[in-house]
Amino acid sequence: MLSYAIRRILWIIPVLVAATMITFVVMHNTPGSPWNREGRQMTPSQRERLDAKFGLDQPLPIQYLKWVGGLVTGDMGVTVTDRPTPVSRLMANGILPTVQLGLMAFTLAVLVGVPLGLIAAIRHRTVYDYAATAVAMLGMAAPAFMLGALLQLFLGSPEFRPDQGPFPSFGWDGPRAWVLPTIALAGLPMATIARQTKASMLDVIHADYIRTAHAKGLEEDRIVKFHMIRNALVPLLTIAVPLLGLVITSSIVIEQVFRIPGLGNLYWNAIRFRDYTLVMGITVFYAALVAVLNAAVDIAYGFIDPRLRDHSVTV
Amino acid sequence: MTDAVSVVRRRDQHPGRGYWAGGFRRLLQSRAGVAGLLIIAALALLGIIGPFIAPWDYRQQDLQAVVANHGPVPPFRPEHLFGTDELGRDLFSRTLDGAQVSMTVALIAQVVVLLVGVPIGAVAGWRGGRTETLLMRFTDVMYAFPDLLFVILLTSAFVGTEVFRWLNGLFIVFVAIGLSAWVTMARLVRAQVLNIKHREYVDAARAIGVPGFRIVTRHILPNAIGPVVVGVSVGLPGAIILESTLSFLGLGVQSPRASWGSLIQYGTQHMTLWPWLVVPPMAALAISLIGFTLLGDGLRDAFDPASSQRR
Repeated sequence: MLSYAIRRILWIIPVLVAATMITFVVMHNTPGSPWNREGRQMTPSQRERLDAKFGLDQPLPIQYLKWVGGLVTGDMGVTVTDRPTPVSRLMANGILPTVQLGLMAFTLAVLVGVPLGLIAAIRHRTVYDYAATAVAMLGMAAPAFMLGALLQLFLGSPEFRPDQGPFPSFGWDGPRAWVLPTIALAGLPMATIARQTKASMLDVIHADYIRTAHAKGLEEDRIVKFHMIRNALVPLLTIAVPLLGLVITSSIVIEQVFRIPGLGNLYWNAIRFRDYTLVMGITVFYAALVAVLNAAVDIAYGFIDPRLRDHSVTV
Repeated sequence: MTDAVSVVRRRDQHPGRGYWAGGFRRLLQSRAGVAGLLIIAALALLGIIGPFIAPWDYRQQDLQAVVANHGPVPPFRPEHLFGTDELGRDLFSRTLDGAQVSMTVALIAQVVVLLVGVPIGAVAGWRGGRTETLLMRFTDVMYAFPDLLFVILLTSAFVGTEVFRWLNGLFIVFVAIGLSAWVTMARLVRAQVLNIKHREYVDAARAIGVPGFRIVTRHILPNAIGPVVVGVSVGLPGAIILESTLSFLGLGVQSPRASWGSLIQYGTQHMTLWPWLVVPPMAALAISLIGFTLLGDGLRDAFDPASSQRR
């Protein structure tokens, strides 16, 4: 088991190499350069001087290896801009809003989604079921950007109309500003979790051991609490952890809609202005996050079901 | 004896016919499936015949009406049912064009997914050994690349280039979504092939000397079709969400073509003055996503009963 866990963790490294390499190749082989922001005139010699200053005149493999070498020693480099700033400092400022938003949205999705799914399954084919299923369906119907726009329309107040709604439409200053983006980001995962909970709960309800429990004359409450819910939540873990990764990366869109100064916003601008080092730094963060979460799920399942060690991941 | 052979032949000429008919009958028995099917069929039809029933061309500007109204035409006018935008373009016609864009993107992205994912998964599962290791390591690496990051990277890296403008931005959207979504299909197909390749009928085919390619295409893949159908039906709304998100952010479909995402973006910008602009594209997007979700549920019950016995 230990060797499986170690192999699975080491597998994160090629994943990161590939993600950064793809990003590097795409960024450097498409038109555009960090030096032609709108309306700027620059002579070829100025451009050459800047390229030399940031090492952009070297062959691409060398540039990539230098960047990797820096990363290994904990140095993510400086931004490729007029005022070079350490990438790590920019990212440190951006990580907090992004991770906080992601975790809050995920928590909200679980806290709403699981009960919805349980109600729908336990009260199958009743009004409660239809209501819960309808809420989940609405979550499926509204992508994050659309839910965000709707919330801004009905509950938000933009700067120029401060008293239009109870919550600020933009920004990330204080708990009141957190409300709308969190709900917007939680919609789709909430629906996914509710539907999965309902499906696995319905499977459990018809399982033989539940019939046995009924036959033994156990109280209904006890059966639901200890026999059904516990077993129904196991398959939920499979989707919950990758979903957390998905929620945190999806915040790129929500950060655009609500103008939140997080990593997604940094990434967005860095790509537009060809800030190579910043794009690479943020890619490493997101890819590492997703890779670690995937590895955690695989290792957890390796503990639960040893057969999966040989098949689930091709290590 | 001759009878037996001819019976076998006749079955062989219609492989999987009973399977499809049975699956379709099961689909029509579920209320969710029928509802989804109707919604999607209606939207697909609107996408196809949209240009013929649209009162205006989606690019055409009714400038006289804009001047007369001192701005976009509000909805429920005889000549513009949903009103117009600032440029005098009919919103009803543009929403119809959005249906065509969304349906096209969903379909073509899934074709790309099938063309890339199925061969890779099938070869990996059938050949095994080093081929499998190589292919699946590549797949696992791509699987770990966050989808949204990859799609935004690909599309925005090409902003301002000729490629970005091909087909009004549709081309880059096909490529980006297809390239990010094939991974799931490849893993799914490989798992199916691994599951099926040791069945007795495959051994039988191998024993009488059927070549490997034919075994995979005639004996294994047709029996793996259920999960593949379900995988595609899950991928369709995923593609529509990605496309509308990209277009909302300005990276997807470019003007003058309309996407529900870009129409919503335009509407939200002018929400305070002309709030009606967001209603048609938002409603269309929500209805199509509900339709695909219902259809997906119905298809899963019909073609992949193992994954959901009772729902």
